[in-house]
Amino acid sequence: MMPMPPPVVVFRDVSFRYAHQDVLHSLSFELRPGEVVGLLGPNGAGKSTTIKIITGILAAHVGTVQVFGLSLPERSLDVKQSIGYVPEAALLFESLTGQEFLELCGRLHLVDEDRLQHRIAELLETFGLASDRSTRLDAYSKGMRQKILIAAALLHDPALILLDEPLTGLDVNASVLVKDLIAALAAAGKTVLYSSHVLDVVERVCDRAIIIDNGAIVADDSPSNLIAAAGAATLEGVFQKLTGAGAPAAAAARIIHALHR
Amino acid sequence: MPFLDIHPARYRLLADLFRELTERRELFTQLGNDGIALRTAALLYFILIALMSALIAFSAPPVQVYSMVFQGIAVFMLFTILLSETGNSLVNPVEASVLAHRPISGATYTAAKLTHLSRILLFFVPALSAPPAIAGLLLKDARWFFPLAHLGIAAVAGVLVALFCCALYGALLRFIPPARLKSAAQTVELFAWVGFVFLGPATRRLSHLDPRPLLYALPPLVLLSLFALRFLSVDYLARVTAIQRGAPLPKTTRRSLIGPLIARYCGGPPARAAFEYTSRLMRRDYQFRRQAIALASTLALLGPALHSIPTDPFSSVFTPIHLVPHTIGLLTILLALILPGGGHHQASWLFRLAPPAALRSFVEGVWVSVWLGVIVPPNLLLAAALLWFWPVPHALLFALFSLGVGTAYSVAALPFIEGLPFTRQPIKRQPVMFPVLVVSGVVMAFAVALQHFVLFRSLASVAAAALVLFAASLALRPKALAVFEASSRFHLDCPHASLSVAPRSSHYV
Repeated sequence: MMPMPPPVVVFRDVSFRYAHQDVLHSLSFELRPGEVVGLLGPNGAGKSTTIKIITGILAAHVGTVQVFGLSLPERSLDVKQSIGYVPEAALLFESLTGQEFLELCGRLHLVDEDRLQHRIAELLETFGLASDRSTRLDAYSKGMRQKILIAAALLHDPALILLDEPLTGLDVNASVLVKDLIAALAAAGKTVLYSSHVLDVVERVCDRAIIIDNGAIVADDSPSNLIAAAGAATLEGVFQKLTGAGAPAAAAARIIHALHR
Repeated sequence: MPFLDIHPARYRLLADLFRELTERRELFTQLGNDGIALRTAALLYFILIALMSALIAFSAPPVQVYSMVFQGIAVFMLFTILLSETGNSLVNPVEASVLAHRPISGATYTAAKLTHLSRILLFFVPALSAPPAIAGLLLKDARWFFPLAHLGIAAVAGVLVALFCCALYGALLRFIPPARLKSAAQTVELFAWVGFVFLGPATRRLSHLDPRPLLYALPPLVLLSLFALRFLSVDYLARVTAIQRGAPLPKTTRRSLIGPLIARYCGGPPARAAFEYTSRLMRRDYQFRRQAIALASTLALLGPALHSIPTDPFSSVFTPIHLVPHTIGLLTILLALILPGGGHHQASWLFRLAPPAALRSFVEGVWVSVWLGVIVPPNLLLAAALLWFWPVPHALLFALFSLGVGTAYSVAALPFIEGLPFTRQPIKRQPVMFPVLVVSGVVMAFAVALQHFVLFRSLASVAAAALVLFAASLALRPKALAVFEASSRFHLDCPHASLSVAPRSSHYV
């Protein structure tokens, strides 16, 4: 029997709080090499915080976090060298051009210059941004910025890719490309943690889905197992059941009633 | 090979990045990010200091006194400039969100930032210290090496001030929760500007100060600054990234007590909406507060006035207290220039969808918020302070007169508001700022002379002047509001935009 490869990410009993708000409560999970894991949860559930802790941007208050066997936050510099991260907010240096921004990101990760230029050209071409490479980012549309962020996350060929709502603002073609890209990355042995509200995409591309509600894990299994266990038709049904969303029809009726008052 | 945990390649990349952003004016109100502003400001300081040093050198003070005074002025000016620059440069959530997940050590980042800040020193240390260094040779007891010594000390002081500013922000980043960091940084900046009020008396004190204790204090100060500088190197980028979450929400939402009154008497729900929107965002909008803090230098005008507060203006003795009503008024005009700029200007689409009549009442609400927020509170404080020193009728009448002057300024400020509050990108340079300051200075000089020589000879004339000011403000307000409304429509790019003044016959209710 083949020995199981060591986990890429270990999250053990992690708790985190912002100034006056508990965000994560004793969260535990592991990510294995080559896995594509969907991180789901309602707004404010703690998905982005979880991802930021893995990137080393935030430090867990309680618990153990290890990425590639390195403890965080102590070894955050080494961890950052090997991760690609697409943040939820597309904040960029607006006065730089797309090409300049990608060069900056690649060089900060010490990518060899020839290789960097080749990768930038390929990525810009693939995302349909080749003709806008010399345009300043403040003139980019929301979708174009998102493509730049995704390209910047991949430039240094990271082993772990963290995607926080990567499809925001993308057109249909770009969304399909990103979905295929995730599958291709997993096939190439990369580990992908994918946070999204688009559940049918998670259902199609992820090997596993972790559902968080109020900072705690309420489900962690493959989408098909979750659907079967919950007796739901889709992952959306599972999500509603587990996160206590209530009856949407009743909520809609209540809104209409409030408007008529 | 990293040196002191500074990665040379990444250091160069970051230093180049900051220089590039400098040239392209990526960040707002950052002297260091704007080469032209940097040179212009340095040149202005140079001219001002050159005039001052020539004047003082001709009065032949002892060389030590002369040197201390100019070193004190230079340190203070550098402190205010660098404090603001360091704040803008270090507490920058956008930069942190791009760089925080990159493999950059705190030391590398800090070194690149210090390099960036040193550029400002290269401009301002010579601008503030070269003129007094050269003019100092005119002094009788000045030796041939005086210019070199003066410039050398100024350079060391400049580096110390830069270190201190970085250390101060490092300590803030370490000990203040991220949600309160931006406010804390702005409070520190505001305190520095308020120091202008005390610059005059402090300079006089400096001339009698023995410099030796200062020299003894230098080594511990340097050590302390270097120690505090380490705070920047810990998890600084992560903390700044956390700023994005913003301040925690208050547990209870306070309802404005004045809001319903404004809705009832000043133009219905849109006026109330404008009042609550403007007064809340004036306190909360980060970009607006950054600009407003820079205006605090106007408070320098209050310095002499506050020192002469015991002198009653009705006593025929000239007192700088006459300047106070105009300083408050001038602040209103300057605020009017920056009011349209805001950090969340993209939300201005909201106003494009508002019914045309709503905008008419909305601008009225904006004026009320400015009047109640900027004119009334300082005048109430003034009344309280004056009651302590002056006879009650004198104090109350002066406060009433000051309120009248402030009201007139607030009406005069309305045409300067180019767009609804917080609906435009903050303007990097205000071309009208300088002419406004010059004209305001002339108006203030005439008004102060009129107050001293004509009005404050009798209680009745002051009361009459106050009433005239209120009446004139009331009469001119509709016209001023109409101009403000037309400008707001123009800048919102409304389909019904028109530069002609619309009749204010109906209110949106």
